[in-house]
Amino acid sequence: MLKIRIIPCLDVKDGRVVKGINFFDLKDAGDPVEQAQIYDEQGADELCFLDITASLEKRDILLDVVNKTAKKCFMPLTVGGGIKSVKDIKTLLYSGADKVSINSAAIYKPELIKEAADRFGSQCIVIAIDAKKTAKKNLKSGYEVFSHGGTKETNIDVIEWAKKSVNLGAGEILLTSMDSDGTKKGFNIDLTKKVTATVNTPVIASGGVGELKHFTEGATETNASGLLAASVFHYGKFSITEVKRELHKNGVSVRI
Amino acid sequence: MNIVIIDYKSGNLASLKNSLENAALNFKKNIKIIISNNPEVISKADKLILPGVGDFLNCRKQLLKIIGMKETIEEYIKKKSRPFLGICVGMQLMGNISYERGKNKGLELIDADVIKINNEVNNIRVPHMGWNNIKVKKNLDKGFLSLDSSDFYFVHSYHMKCNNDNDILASVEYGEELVAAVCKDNILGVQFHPEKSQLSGKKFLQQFFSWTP
Repeated sequence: MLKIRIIPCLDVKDGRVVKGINFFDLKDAGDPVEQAQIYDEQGADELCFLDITASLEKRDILLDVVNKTAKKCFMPLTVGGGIKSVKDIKTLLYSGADKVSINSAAIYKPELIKEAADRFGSQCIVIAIDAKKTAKKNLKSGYEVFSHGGTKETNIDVIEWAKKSVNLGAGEILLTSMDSDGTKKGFNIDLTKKVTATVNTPVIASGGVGELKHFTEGATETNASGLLAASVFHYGKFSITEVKRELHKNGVSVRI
Repeated sequence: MNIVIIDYKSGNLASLKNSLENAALNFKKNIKIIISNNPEVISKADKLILPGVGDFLNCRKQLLKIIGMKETIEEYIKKKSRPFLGICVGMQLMGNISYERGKNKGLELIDADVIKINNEVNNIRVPHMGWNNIKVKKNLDKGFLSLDSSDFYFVHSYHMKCNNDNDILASVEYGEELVAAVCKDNILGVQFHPEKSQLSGKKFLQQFFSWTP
């Protein structure tokens, strides 16, 4: 039986791990390669790096981090943040990433998804969607896609965008609820359910974990294929081992 | 012992090399991992690995573009003495025909077709992505048998449908029973990625090191 994936995410800036509350107010701590190894030992099912480095000249540091991590961790590695072109994707895949997650660039240039999927295969193209509740009448699902790290409205419906990305060749959707992110109140179940009902690719739910029970909720109340969290793991609130034990106890099929 | 990974520009081979080197640590024999696209180097390998990511058609094109590659692989396999391992699309390439993006011929080493995973079943999402446990179907030796029910990392939208049940080494449950590994004489093929499967992947690679067909 296919197991639900528990995915720790490391926000990386200039080669260092950071994690913010509600996308802003960043705190610094930790070496990403070392962190990755800890997660590897705890039995993470996959690892995610989100690069939030702003300056172009410092972006090569990330490639070095990816390369070093791939040498030490024998599990799938997804890398996202600032990917704009097929060339960016190629560089990351050749540095050791197994999948890349694309956000803003795909919104403004959707043909990038098709181009990338044709070239490297759908299996390595993840579309990251930052979703926020909206009252706009034209956005029927009630959720709007935000770009540029959650700072810009796009006037695009989350459900429409998820559907379109998969049709263009995305192999997975990484769905972050901006309303839940950093709140520690649990995954956005309603949003996750809406998206998993729309697409038939795997969907990773992200944003909002604060308690162990939130993982069980995410696993049992939605059809998400994976659950992603950052701060709870990064600040050691609980380990991946503890999450898996909790899920197992609640009858969820996990890899132990 | 020289293990050669065939380099035909199908993605990053560094992780495969890293994981093979990691599995080779503390192994009794001295193992050297070589990445090569040179038919001469390939024909001298003690063990040969055909990797593959992405789609069948691209992989096939890239592989057959190398002059002498098809003949070298066929010659290597025909001798039946040294092991050959295909990983993911590398395994699918061993089949007769793949239906990914049209209808394309494989290397015809295993009597099988490569078809799309049926996703009309309840909550079967494609690609089949993540960790799933395998069921060993064939009693090759104790080493392979010990991998029964271990979790491996899978990522694929197409699967190999074998015409001969006897070629199936292991299966995996995903809506239906899919082929997870094949074995015929000195040919081994796995749909999962041992290089991404942490401890169970390491065990599998070590088993491949010591396997004598």
